[in-house]
Amino acid sequence: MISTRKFLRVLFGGGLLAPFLWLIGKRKSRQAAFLWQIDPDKCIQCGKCETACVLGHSAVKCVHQYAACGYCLFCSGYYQDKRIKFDTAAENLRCPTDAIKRKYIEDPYFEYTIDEEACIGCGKCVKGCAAFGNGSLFLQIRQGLCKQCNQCRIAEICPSNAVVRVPADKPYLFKRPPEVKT
Amino acid sequence: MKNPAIRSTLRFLQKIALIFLILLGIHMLHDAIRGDQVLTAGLEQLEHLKQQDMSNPKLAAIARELDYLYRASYFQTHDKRRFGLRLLGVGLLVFCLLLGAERFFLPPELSVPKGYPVSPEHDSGELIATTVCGVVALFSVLAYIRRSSSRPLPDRSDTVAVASKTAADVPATVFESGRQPSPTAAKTPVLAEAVEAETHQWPQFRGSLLPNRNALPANWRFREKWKTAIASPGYNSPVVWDGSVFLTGADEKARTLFCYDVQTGKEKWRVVCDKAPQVPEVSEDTGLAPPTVCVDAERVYAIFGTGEMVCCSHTGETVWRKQLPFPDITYGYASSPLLLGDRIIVQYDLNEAQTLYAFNVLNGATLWEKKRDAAPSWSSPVACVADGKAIIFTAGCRTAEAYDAQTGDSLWRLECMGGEVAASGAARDGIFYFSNTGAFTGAFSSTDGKILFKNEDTPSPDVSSAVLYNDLYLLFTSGGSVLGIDAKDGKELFEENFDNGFYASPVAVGGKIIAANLDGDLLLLSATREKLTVEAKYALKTKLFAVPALSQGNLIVRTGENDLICLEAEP
Amino acid sequence: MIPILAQARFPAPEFENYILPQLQLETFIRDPIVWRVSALLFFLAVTGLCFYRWRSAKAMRLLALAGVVIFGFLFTACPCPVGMFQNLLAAFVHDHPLGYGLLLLFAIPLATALFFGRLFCAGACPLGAVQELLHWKSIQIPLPVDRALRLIPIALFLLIVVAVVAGMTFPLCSLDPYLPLFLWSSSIPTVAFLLLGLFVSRPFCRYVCPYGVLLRLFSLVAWKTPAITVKTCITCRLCEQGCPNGAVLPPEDAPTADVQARGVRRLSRLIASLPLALCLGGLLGWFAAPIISGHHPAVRLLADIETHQTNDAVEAFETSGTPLAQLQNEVAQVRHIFDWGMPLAGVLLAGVVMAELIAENRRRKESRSYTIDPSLCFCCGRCYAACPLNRKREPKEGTAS
Repeated sequence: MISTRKFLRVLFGGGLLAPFLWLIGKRKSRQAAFLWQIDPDKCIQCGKCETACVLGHSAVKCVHQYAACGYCLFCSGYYQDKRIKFDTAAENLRCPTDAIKRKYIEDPYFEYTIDEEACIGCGKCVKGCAAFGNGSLFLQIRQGLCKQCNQCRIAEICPSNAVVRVPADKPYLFKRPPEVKT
Repeated sequence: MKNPAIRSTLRFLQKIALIFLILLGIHMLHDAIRGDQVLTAGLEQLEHLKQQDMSNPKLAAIARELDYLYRASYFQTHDKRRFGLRLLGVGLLVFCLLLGAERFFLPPELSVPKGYPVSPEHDSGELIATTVCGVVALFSVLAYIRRSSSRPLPDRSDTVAVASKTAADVPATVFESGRQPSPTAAKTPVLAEAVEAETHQWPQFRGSLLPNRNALPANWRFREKWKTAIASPGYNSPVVWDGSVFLTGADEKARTLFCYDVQTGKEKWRVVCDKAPQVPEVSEDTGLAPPTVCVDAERVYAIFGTGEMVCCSHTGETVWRKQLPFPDITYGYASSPLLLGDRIIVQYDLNEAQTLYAFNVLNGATLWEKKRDAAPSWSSPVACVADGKAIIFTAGCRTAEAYDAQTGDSLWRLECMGGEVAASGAARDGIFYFSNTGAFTGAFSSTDGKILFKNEDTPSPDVSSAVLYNDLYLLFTSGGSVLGIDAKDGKELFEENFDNGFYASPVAVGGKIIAANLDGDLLLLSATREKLTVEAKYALKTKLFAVPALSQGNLIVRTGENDLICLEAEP
Repeated sequence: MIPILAQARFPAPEFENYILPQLQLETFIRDPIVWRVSALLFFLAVTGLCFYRWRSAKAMRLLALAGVVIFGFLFTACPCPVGMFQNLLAAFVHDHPLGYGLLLLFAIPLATALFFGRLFCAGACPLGAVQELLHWKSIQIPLPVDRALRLIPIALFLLIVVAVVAGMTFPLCSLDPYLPLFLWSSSIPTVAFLLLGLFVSRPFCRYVCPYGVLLRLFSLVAWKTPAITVKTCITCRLCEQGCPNGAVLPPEDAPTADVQARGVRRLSRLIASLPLALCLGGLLGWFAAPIISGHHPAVRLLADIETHQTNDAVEAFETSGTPLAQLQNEVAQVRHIFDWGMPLAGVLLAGVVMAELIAENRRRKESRSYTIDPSLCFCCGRCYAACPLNRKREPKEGTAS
């Protein structure tokens, strides 16, 4: 015979477990691996990605979709709005850490590359490029750096809810490249 | 050692570690709060400043300084934070190990239950030990603070610093470079040193600035090692660096910089310029590619008769390009550029305006440009070092003028020329020598422009440039006469006559003179104050307009039929 | 939706000798959840053996070290006691993705608690293990303060349940002070909690951890719990002093008639005031509801829009072109949840407080020996080391049964 005490215990324990079992059964989405990513179409480049990430250096970096780039001579992501000259002097440039590198391709086209070591994910260039350019620069969470926190701290404070979960087999959200001319 | 001794030692060490951890923790907390504030404030200030009028050079300078400071402190703060964390981690580990060692290896100490009388045993040693620990830990934290703040700044993104590492990375821009250089930036070679540097290469027009140290061929009996037809015509001379020969050719469609293998004569690569907005009309014997290219250890620089400039790496990747103003000049633009360490000097004398440019070798940025009132000319600049500065000598059809290579300031200017100046000067020991028919034959002091001598009676060259040889200044004319004048006073010493004239400039190498004439004879000459001796002669049977280049005892010759020939001494 | 950014203001140039660089971004390698689950199972089994069979404080210490290395640094703070139940709730309410692996990680420690007490806290929980290792000297928190502070996790738990149901992103995750440590980063709470942890045992586990609330609840009915053998105990108090978490309760004398009478009086008063207390709790929750809901991003956004403030969120909302009515609808729902949830949470909290008080004043049996409260015991094994008998004992006849 089971003692009353033991019976009550089992009852209590079962009562505790039941709601969880119920919750578990109710859940809808069963896919395991989801990653955090920034939806570049929602991003408003507020600059919070730089500071909100739990990592000392944010896992958010600027990426450059070359296919969408206009290779502008006067890149509005590279140069700040009130520049005087189009040179490499600090007062005319936008990036605070000098992470955009510019390389001559052919007249009058320049290739812009992001130095990921120096990029801090502040999004200043992204804003400039989106405002006056093709928007080929945009912010992405680099999955190699991201620690996949349960709750992304950037997502928590993102003003435009641009940080979303994406399935692991599609870890990046790219912007649509412009129409290719035929 | 007995257990109590070990235990007290462990406790002592634990205290050190603990105090270290606490102090470090407090310092890092303080740093974390303050560091972010400082950085945010700094960035705001910078952004605010950037919105001001940046045409004010003072404000721009402040902006550059602030930008540099911000970048430096940003990465420094983060590096320091990471370093501090590592240190904290190590400290924690040590502390855990010490704690673990005590609890793991020693029998647990029986504590006295509360309420039991405890004998008042005050350990004065403990107090001292704690004090000592505190001091040690304090000093170690101070050491950390000092150490971390004296770490070298990260070498970030300074244009010049990056560019000097690899040519391919050079941010090509036709604009001025102004990022504040970081303290660790690699120094570009000092200009004066660059001028003085002797070389075994054949880097520019007429070899190098100073007597070339290349070895002469073992004998003057040559056989053809290889022969390559150059794809497009040009009156410039080949230059050699290590295993590559560089020269240019041009027609109306395209201007091309060629690179050939010095061993086989095979074309390694070519770089084409065909974006000139307008191709000038030039005379037949000038063409669109008269300037000789110049080359340094990393890059090749070429300019064409269309005003196009191109800089390539030794592997043929374009580093930068520029388009100079349309060269409207009778016959066509012909002056060869002069390479001076970190800058290229281009004497750009056109019909309407005459300009001397200095371009940054790394990105083609204009370091300075000087408008000169000099009448058009076809002469190339030369340079020498005097008074600790590099001085550039230019000859125009009206003036001779010298400039400071560093700043571009005009040092002196003499209206002593005339006629049409095509020949270039020579420089030695702070003296510039110049000879062009109808213009001037003589010497100037490089520092003040004093005319040391002049000789207006001698026949002078009108295409080739005269050469300095020992104490002689030798003039090779297009009529075929060779005059030797005293390099000290300009007195004519001898005159020799050849059947055919000289267009290619002679060069002095290894105690001899190599000259090429319009007959296709390659002459090896020597001279004394009395006479000129033809030591050897090799007949190529083609007109020679270009200066032959020397490379490892071989002669690289561009012929009048636009072939490139490598002549090897017979064994 | 039309992408707002990918404009083609400047068409891509047609290059001759230039190959368009491909964007090379690394991908996520694979999900090591199977490893984590099996490691957790194995680790808990070893913990159980060390704690109940070998009764070794040293072994528990080593396990804590192993836990920090494996679950802390190797698996980057997984299983995380802070995030897990939020995930489960969100999966249920908001269709948040949740795989079987995470479910198991959530359920295994609870199941263990149901049978063997809070073994999970000893070493398998990376946060617990860190605190366990970095505890130097105990400052005993006075019992009343300790009890009051122990209510914080319960309050947090209830609050977070309401917040998660209302669709706030996991609010507790940013409170996790130890996560940055495992990412080789730091924050101010990290350093503060580490320093505090040197003197106060397990400050996070005892006064913050919401998962601990569940573990406490489950371990109350645990089948096997740490206990002190009444027969051999010499009541030397050393285990009580040795326990930094206040889990060892001292023996109680049989109450005198006087005390008993007072207890009965108190009990009757408490029970009488129960409805009042519950109402008070509910009222408190009701008052707190607008304050808490004000932190919900949607509510805040609407408030900003209505007061014509300009900030990033307002700007983003305006750019996105979402109709205002949709936002208002959402906010109304959120408010609704808070308006119901918060009073309910308040009632529950008041109930817990009352239950504690009632339990305090219940009729007591006389107990001669020390007892261990399984809901407060983190299975650190310090009492094994403190007990003078345990040290002399032969392996089989220990003081703890």
